[in-house]
Amino acid sequence: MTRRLILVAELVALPFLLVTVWWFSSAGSSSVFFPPLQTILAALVDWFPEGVTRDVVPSVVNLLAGYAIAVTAGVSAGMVLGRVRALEDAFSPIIQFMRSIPPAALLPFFILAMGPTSTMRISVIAVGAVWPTLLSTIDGARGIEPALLDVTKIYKTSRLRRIFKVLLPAASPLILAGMKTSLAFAIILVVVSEMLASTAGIGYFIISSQQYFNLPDLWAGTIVMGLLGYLLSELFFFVERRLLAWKGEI
Amino acid sequence: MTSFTTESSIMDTVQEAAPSSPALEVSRLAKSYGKREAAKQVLADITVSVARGEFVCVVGPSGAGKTTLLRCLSGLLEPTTGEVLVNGHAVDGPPDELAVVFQDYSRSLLPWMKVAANVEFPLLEKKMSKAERKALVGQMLEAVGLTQHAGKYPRELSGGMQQRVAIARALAYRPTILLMDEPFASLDAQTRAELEDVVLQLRDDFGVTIVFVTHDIDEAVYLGDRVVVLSGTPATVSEIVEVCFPTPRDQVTTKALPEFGAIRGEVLTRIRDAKQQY
Amino acid sequence: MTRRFSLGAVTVVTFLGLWELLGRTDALGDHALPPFLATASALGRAVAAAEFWMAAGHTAVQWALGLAGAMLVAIPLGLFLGLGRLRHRVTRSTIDFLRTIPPVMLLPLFVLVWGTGLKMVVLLAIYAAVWPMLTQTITGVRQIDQATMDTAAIFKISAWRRFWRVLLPAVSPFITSGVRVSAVISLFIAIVCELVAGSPGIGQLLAQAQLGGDTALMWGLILVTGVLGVLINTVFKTAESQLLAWHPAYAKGQ
Repeated sequence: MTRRLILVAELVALPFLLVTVWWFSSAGSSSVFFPPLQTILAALVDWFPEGVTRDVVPSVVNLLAGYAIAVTAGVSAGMVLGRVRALEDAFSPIIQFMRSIPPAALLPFFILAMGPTSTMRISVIAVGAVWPTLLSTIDGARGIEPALLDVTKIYKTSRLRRIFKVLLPAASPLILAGMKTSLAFAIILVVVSEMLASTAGIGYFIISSQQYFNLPDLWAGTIVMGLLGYLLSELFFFVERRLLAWKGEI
Repeated sequence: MTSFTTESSIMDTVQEAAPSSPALEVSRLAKSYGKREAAKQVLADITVSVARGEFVCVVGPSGAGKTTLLRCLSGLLEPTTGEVLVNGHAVDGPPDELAVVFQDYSRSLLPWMKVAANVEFPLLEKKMSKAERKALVGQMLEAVGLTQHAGKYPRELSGGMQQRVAIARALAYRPTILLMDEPFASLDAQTRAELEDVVLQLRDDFGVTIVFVTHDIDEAVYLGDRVVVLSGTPATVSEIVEVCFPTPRDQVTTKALPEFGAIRGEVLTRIRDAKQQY
Repeated sequence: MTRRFSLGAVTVVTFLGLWELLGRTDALGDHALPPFLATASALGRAVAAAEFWMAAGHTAVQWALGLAGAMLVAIPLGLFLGLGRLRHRVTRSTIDFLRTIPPVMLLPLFVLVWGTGLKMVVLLAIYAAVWPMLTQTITGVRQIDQATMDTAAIFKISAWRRFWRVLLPAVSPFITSGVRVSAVISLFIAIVCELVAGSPGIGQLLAQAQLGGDTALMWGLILVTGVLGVLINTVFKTAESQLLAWHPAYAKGQ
């Protein structure tokens, strides 16, 4: 019991200290840029219920839609490329180049071609976030233990079962590692796309607060965005831990 | 090259009168890797026949092509020339009535499936009801003594226990022929002895024909009804030794028999002779 | 090797041919995708102008300062935090939180406080690039075999030498892999700042080309960012394998 308490204390102590320092050092601050934490929290409370549906929901919906496409495409293409040597050789130069383009650099094209729409955001995420998943799926698929493939041949495992019960689980640790980076890309892309061209979403809320010089709202939006990013990655860790429970080391 | 000569009084090296259709028949099998000039021949002119219910061990030094032979028998590898017949049909891809226990249990089990699911895995392709499958899995786990571990992941088991899972998985497939590729090579001596007896017991219980590849001469002599000695480069069958100890065999008394030492010596001599020949 | 090369060359040529075809038929509408040859010639013209090289220089300087600044913060801090159990445990939750929050959200705030110039870009790039190196360095220190340190202690190796000859080499594979990730992140952030806030650099030219409807130039500049990314990846991968030639994973040629 006491050991648990110490553990919790270790986790909470520093964040608590930092927030406290922020609270007291900013109290009564007259700087335009650094409003008192109290003011920021008040702005956050004002924003709260309708802000979630107005700003957070559209961002998250676009994010998840684009991410789902990126992951599906990355995993399926990666499994094929990783198992077929000639295909990987053929596509490797293009993939290596595409993944080196900073994802945000593609935004001007998508904005021009599709305008400030949800389709644009979903498309840019699908194209910009696919590469990390694709590359690590290729690695994962290439490294599948040959003995397992012998097992499926001896027992005449059906094609679907071979894919879903053997090949994908065998490559899953690397697939998930790639998906983690893809998620970070997707978050960056949704925020930047909203900052550049949008009338809704958390990125738009932050940039418009900046343009109206509404610093309490700007700070509040930034905090919301930070919490959102944190929650999404915690959710990812949770799912990853469950999927890789068989490895037993996490 | 294949010799079928009688050697000594205690072991008649036999040319067995083949029954109408042996479980496994290998005729003039050869295997090379690579193409044309770069080709490396691994197996040359292997002819062996295994009767139904027989336990045949294949021994030979490492690198002698034992695993290649076994992969040809299982249909995982296509022989360059010659053919393999299983229950009278030519092998073209893995036959239905055959299962394999692979050398490396830690790599041939599916680490993301629990023990019971691993044993059930090959059954999913068979037309069986879920209840039948579960019953068969339970029966097989009991046969290898793992009933209590059904809900564990392979990594939570010792090496010996993992190999028991692989054996249960192979037997659950209900094969008439079981191929085992150095199944106990990476286990400690104690565990290995235990598992050897498990395999002998299962052979009696299920009446399955077993081809057991090993580099351990003691193991081959202890387990087999016949021992096929594979040696040379490319490998050929240099000797087929009949083992005629009483059954059931026992780790202490069987290995203490004077015949045990004699057969063991015979096999060893064969391997050494073959080495000097090349 | 040659087969790999020729297969790759065939797909690249096919890909460019397809691009040319889609561009000529204006398949995406609004000339959003111009033909490849038009893109190449627009890029050719841009490269001949001093403006392009100034922009490229800005991007390069912002990237380099962002990465260097992040290294100066992350590596010493990572070593310090990794070496003490309590320090590590107390700071863990805060670092985990800060590294998972998307750095671009800070951009509007940074712009208000520091403007849109070099200083702002470098500070944001530092903030973003610190985390991979910091967590990698901490992991690297934490995984050092106690026996390694014990050996050093038994032979009474001086603290100075223990740091340079034992600790640093043991952690270096972790640091270099962190640096490689951070180098890419620093470039990403520099481009985002230039694109969104109009800080000087390739990203700014890209945004101008988009607003001016010069899609051929826009695509040319997108290719330039890709080339920058490839350069950074290649240089850091090569440097890493040179520096770590002693390490078993690299000695085997990976």
